[in-house]
Amino acid sequence: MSPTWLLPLAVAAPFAGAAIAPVLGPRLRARSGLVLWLAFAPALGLLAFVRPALRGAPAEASLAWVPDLGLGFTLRADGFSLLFALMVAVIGVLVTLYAAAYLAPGERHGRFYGYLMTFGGAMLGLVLSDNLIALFAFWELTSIASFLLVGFWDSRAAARDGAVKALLVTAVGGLALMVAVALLGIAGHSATLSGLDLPALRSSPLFAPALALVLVAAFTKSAQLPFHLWLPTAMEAPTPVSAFLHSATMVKAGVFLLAKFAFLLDGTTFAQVAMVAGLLTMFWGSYLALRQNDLKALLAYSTVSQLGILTAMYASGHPLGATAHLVNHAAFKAALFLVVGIVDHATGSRDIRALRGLGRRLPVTAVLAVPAALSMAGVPPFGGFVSKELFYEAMQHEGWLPALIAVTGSVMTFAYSLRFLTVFFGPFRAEAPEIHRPHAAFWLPVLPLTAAVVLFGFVPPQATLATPLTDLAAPGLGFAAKPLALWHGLSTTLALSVLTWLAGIALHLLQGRFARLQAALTPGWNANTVYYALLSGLERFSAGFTRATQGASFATHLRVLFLGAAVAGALQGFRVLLPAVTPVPIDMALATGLVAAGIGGALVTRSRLSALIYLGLAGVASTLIFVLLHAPDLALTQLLVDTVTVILFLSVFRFLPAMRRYSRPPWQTVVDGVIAAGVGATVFTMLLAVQQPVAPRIEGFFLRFSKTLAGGANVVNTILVDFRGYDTMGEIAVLAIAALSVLALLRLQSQQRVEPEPPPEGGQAGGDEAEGEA
Amino acid sequence: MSKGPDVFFRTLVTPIVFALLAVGFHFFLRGHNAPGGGFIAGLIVAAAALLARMARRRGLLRIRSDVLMPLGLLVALATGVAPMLAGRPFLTSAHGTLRLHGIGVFEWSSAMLFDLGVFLVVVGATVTIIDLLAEEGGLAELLERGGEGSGRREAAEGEPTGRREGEDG
Repeated sequence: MSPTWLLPLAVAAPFAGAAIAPVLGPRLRARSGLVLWLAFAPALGLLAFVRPALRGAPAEASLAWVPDLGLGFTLRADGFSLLFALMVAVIGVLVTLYAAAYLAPGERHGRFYGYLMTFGGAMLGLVLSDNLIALFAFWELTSIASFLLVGFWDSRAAARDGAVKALLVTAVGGLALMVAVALLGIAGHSATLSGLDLPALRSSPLFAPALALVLVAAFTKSAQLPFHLWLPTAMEAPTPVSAFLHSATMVKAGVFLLAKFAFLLDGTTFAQVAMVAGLLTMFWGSYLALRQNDLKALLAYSTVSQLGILTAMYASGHPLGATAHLVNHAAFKAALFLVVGIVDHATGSRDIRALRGLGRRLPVTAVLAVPAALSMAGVPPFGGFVSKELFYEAMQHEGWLPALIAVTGSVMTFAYSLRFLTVFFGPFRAEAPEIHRPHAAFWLPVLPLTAAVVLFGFVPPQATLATPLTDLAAPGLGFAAKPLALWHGLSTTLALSVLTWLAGIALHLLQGRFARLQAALTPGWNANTVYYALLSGLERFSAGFTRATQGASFATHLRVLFLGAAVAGALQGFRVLLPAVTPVPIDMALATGLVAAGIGGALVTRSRLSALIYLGLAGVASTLIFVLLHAPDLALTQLLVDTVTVILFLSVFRFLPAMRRYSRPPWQTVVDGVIAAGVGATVFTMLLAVQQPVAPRIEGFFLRFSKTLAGGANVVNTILVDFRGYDTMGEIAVLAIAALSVLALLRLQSQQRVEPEPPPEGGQAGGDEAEGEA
Repeated sequence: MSKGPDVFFRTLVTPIVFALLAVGFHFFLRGHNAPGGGFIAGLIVAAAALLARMARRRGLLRIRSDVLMPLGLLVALATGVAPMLAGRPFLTSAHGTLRLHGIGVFEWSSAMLFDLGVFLVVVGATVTIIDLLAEEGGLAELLERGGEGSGRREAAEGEPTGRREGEDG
């Protein structure tokens, strides 16, 4: 019997950690990490759910939100989710401990750990959530946490640029996922992933668009071509963040999504598209990784490439190998990132060309780095070899071309892995004359990761740690588990592996020449130049659009606004049926006449104060209408709003410019008249439209149940605060936002006024030329 | 011309403000069963605050509007979240009667707490805006001079140098 409350606790605990991080930060500084790793402890406790997951009866916990709409917060620990959650928890603990050693004393620790914990909670929520909408929300939250963490050193322009790029690219995917989730929910008649009605979904016309959008979401998050550009620039983040978010966990969220949706993708063209994209990404990522001189950039492109492998394998229906590689990659890549952090910290440099022979000075680090890098290269007896073999095997099934791309990409992977290791060998060389040895707290968190790298590929197959992990994913993804072994016998796959090593060594030896070739082949444009061109184009467009529609002239602004309303009315208005004309009671006619008189007077008068009084008349007259209609609540509100508005208007009187009539050309008068008539017609038809019954009338319900359900006799009030409490909640939030906006606007203006040289009449010149003076 | 607002107004504003507060409280309490409620009560209190400021008697109704808005939102949100702790959906309401020995029988409703949130946000938002405008010095001065605004710019009416309507440059 496993306690299901552990599931929500595992997700909530990191958020609680994020809440106390700002309190701990100033007191414990970097050492907050030594406390905060405990926030991941409940997630480690999810091990308790392994047994039910293996039996195929995963633990579930749910919390109702809006049960009538099928909205609930449902967590489900199936094998694959559990595997991911445990991965997040383990790496979360190690990275938090590592950060305690990594962060300098002067950093903003509370903020750092707060963001990191928020990310951990969001990631756990993402992988455990069964509800599609919650999954989307957590997905977005990981993007936001990533944005904050990439831009953590916000005084650096590169960090800000990287953060914005990461956010923009992943937000595109987030939007795609939102629509995809909505489409899946509509077509599959369920808001939960496990509850989707598959036959209905497959036959629905919404199926194909939904899958296409899922792919966009997965590709942006997992940095697949052509969205790979954000991942390398995200390396501006502190190294523990790169290890946690941008190699081991968050970037795998896209792969996670693909794996979870693989049962839907299976046999569609989208699976083919994803496989091709994955292979190309794999190839292109390792090609670019070979060109990097920064250790971290090398790892970043390597991550892009490895994510391509995962995408290709999950999409082409080889979940066993993909899961094995997922686990391997998490272990060796996180280890390598943390190693780079140590090297950076010890030598003050990450330049491959400047560093040599660090093995003598940083022996422990080197010992931890070598197995991880060899695993990345796909060398036995490490885990990476096993999964690379499975990758080769899978791609051979897909044809000779995928296999060729896989081998070529792996040759380059091998070469850059060797290049990574060169910093540890040969005679010592570094920019800094002396390097300080890392404290044990630095390399201790790397130790379990390297141990995992070794154990995942360990020689006796029974002892391989990766086997139970892939077994765990099997029921969740619905594939047959199989023990993973180093030795598969003499096969084409093995021959390809040997070929890879030989070619990889050759490529490494020819590295200098290959680099020159790469430099010569580099085109003038790439994904980044396209991104910046798009970004500046968008900025220019929106600036131009804003100037044209909401520029200096208020009159133009209003024309655009009203023209929009008139067009909208014209599109809708003809569907309205005119109701039967009934005689209007005399008192109502009088009150309406007063309203009309007020508005007419305000239009005609030349004095602003008179206009204000006329408007007040219109307001009071509409209060009268509400009274005549027996709506005391509305009448009271209208009266009060009107009173406060008039007095407020009086208070800003002296800031207003003089009221002046200015003539417009005849054609302008005609155009404005047409627009005004259109708006009038729109409002009129709208009022008619709302009178028409579109659904059973509900006022009877409110009148009948106001007392029994809401305990109040005033139906208007019970609707406001009870039946439609949700709406009111939104409305008061909007009210507060509006007040804050006024605050911001007025404060901003008064600050500008205080500035030393206020241009006294300068503001007028711009206004004068903008609007027709004629 | 006098230095400040009219002396009668300054004197009378105190009882008026208190009367308005009492009326607002009354409207708030009866809101669930008769015309009234948090929104209306909020506007009445805001009107009282407006009066106090017009009389340059800001101390009469000192309102920390920056605190009221978030507080109101929190109260409303808490009313919504509270039932979730008991396993009920968001914003589930409860109501009943409260019998106090020797005092009487009262009706209560959790929606009242929500209404309190609405009240606080309405007062907070309105008074924020009023205070911002009053800070600029418009209100009291208007009463001193009476009529057509402060007259500073209004005097320029018709002159060609006057700024045109709605063009902020």
